[in-house]
Amino acid sequence: MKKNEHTPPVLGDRLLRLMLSSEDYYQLSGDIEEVFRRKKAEKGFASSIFWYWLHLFKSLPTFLSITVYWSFVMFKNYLKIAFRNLFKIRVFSIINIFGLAVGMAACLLIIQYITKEFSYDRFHEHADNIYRLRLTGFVGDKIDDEGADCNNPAGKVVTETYPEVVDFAKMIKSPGVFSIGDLKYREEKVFYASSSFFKVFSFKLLKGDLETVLSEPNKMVISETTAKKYFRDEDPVGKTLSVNGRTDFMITGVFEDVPGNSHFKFDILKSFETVEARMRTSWAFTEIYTYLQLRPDADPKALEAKFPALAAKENEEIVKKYGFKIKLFLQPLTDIHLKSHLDREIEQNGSERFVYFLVIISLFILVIAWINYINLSTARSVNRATEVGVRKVLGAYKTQLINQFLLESFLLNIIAAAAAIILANIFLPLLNNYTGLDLSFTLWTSWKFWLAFSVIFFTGTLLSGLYPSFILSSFLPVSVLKGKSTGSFKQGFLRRGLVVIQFGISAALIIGTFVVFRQVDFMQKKDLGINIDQTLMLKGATVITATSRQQYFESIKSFKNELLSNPSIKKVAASSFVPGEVVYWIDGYKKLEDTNEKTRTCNNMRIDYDYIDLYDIPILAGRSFSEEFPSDAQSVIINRAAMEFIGFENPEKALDKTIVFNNTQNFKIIGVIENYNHENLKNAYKPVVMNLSPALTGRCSIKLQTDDIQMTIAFIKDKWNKSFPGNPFDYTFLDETFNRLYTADRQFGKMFGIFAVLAILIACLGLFGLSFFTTVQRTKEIGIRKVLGASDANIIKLLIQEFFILTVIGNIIAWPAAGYIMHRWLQSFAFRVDLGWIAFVLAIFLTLVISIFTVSFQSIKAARINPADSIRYE
Amino acid sequence: MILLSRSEEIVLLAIWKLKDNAYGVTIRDQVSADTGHDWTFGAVYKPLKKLNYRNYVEKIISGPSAERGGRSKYLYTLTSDGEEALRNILKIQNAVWTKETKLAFE
Repeated sequence: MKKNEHTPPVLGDRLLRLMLSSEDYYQLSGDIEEVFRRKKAEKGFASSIFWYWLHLFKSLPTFLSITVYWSFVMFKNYLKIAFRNLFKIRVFSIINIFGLAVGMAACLLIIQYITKEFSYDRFHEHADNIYRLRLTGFVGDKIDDEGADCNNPAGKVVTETYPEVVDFAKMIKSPGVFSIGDLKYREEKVFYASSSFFKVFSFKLLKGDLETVLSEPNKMVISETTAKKYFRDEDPVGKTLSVNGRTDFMITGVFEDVPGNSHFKFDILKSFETVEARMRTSWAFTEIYTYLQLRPDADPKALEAKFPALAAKENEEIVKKYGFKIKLFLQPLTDIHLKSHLDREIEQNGSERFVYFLVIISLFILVIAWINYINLSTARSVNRATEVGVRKVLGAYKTQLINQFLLESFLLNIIAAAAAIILANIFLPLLNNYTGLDLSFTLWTSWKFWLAFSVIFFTGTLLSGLYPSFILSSFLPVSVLKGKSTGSFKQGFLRRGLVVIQFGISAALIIGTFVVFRQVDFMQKKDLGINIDQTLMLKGATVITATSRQQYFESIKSFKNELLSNPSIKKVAASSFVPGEVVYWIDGYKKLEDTNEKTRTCNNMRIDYDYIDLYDIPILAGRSFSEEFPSDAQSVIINRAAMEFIGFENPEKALDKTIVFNNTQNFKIIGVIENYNHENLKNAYKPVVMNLSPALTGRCSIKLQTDDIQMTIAFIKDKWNKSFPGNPFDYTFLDETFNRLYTADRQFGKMFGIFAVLAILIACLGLFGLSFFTTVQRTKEIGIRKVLGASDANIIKLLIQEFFILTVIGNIIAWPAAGYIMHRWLQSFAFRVDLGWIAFVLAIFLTLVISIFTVSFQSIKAARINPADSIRYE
Repeated sequence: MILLSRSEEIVLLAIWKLKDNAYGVTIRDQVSADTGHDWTFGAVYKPLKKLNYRNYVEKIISGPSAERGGRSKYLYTLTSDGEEALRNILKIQNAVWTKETKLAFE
């Protein structure tokens, strides 16, 4: 349409096109142009322009209402047709809906998990301004120790020195036995906390004034649950509990139970004032967890840069005395749970990598489900070609058709979404059980969640609806009605490509699951270098009724002897930590003659005479502690890693040498033991120095050899209560403790497994539908082949081989990617399995078996058809 | 049967009057002449679409013409359903506007 001065203004034309449907616009613009020309011919240009704009504006509201009204009417019509279509081909619809629902449900569960993980510590009012103050020790330029904790004085000093620091809170772990009357329990989640704790953190105090609850010594606050435990329904405020049988603490308040998404959890807080005087004042010793509250406008980086100047004077002394220097660092509170994996974290933190990983996997699954939809829809498109052709003949516009198919996609997705929500709710408790996570659906109330879900939903609808819509609406009526349309070559290519992607993803997930399971299995079964069979661990006796050291050690001795008199008990030993627990004592050691060297930081443990024997730790040189040598009180035993770290060439050379503890005390090495896995196999062997101490305040290890474990435990309990009255009898088996170390990794593996299964399930669904479809399409071809002499087997092979090749290609593409990622994951473990080839073989084997199995149903059926029937089929 | 609205009735009658030449422009001219004031395009198309939806009229697409900038005309003709509707409304018209009523409001 050539634009010249006879045509109405273009602006108005554009306006019309915006407001009206394509058909209405076509009619109306024609009419308007006709009248416009007429007016112009009759009354002149100006008059016609005037008339044009006048009428346009007068009709504007009517045009709008026409468009809106008729859109609704057409919508109702499309909806009816969409429903009818869905029900007509029930099999496909169900496959589609189920696949989409499963994909969306997986997404829902993952979103729930991710939200929880990212929400840690955000409930505090000042969360964005709270930073953890921590300390790193440097020997020269190398990092010697990087822990989550800090020294005692720094918190106060920093707060008083810098105006941008508003307040600080510090805490130190202090588990113990709490008792009142006959009730006594060992509480693990106990801290000493400083007086401004409740001002910095927003834990809710149900009873008590947050300014004063922790301001005086020997005061404490307890959680709701703890209050119920000791006091039932009585008001605990003002009452006292006895700690470790020695000190009384008065309860000044009760706080709401700590929520699950806090990186540290506690049941009881004792006032820090109680022990302030006993704390070491040097800046060198890290034992306190310190948190700073900054002003909202403060710059943490700038503040951190000021620390070296502040610590300079202290550092001078520290370097002289201990040979290392310290540097203070700030960590944002909200980063801790996911990103902080330093030594001596308060609790084991989650992993940001894991969370991102899950997001990616859920996206994969969703993509597979969407791919299914696209494949099935385009495959089915041939059936609908006739419908499209007829519609076009009857005058449907292309946009109308696209809208109609998009609506169908929308409808399908809505049903799938509803099904997904139901599925997710059903499977949540099962998931919690299997993986040990503790998820619950808190998301329904969050608008952010609904936003995210809607985004997924609409993206899905568009992605999976647009492509098929375009294909479907582009059919030319003539070729369709003549029966020529069988799907273009390009379509088939895309379809095959999508199948490749689906099975590639499935193969990758299989590989991942397999490797993770193997690694976890390896860690659980690996020879730790010590014997932990039938080893019972008792939490030590902190309540001491003995009146003198002599009496105390006598009671320990008699306890041991009484136990050993039982034939089921083979060995008894005491130590500060047992294998499976993190050793959080660290100290600096160096060779006596290395006066100019810096100290090396090693783990420090106390053990008694029987520890090494009980655990069967191989002795490389020298001996274990023995009562025959009273000088053993000034001796140590070190492990191989410590020996190498401190600088001895071999065990024999280390024997009888002297090392210096924190530049203050000398110890003689009387034994060197082999490394053993004390911690999670993710960590390498740590250097350990062991001192002698027969005290039983840490842990008691008991080796059993019996079939009747219950009776032996009862026996031990009896002797325990006799020797150490007032102490709860708290035992675990060591292999359980070790198993718990791997809980997180096991969870990881299980989640991986679940997703692999889901992905394969969805991919199979798609394949099933697709194979059904293509075999129906090729019915005529199969019939002809049979006539020409092909056997059933030939036909089956023909039908299957296409999918066989696609699966293989998918695997080949997946192998390098999955292999690389799993290799990197394995690298994060100090002790690991090889990547190996089994995972890859398993992946391709499984995917092939599954895909062929799925496809074979249709293929076998198709191959058996009587050619006479199939060639007649049109 | 759903009754025709007044505008629908006027438009339908105009289409009948125009015989083979009923399309947007001519219909609008006709009703404007009949009722004595200018109808906007919207006012004509609104009842026209309703009539079309209820199948009282039929749409035929004729050839393109230059004065419409190359677009074709959509010609409307009465269907038998439409004639039925007109008869119906006439019956009601006569039943409602009796001689007495007409006299009272003349």
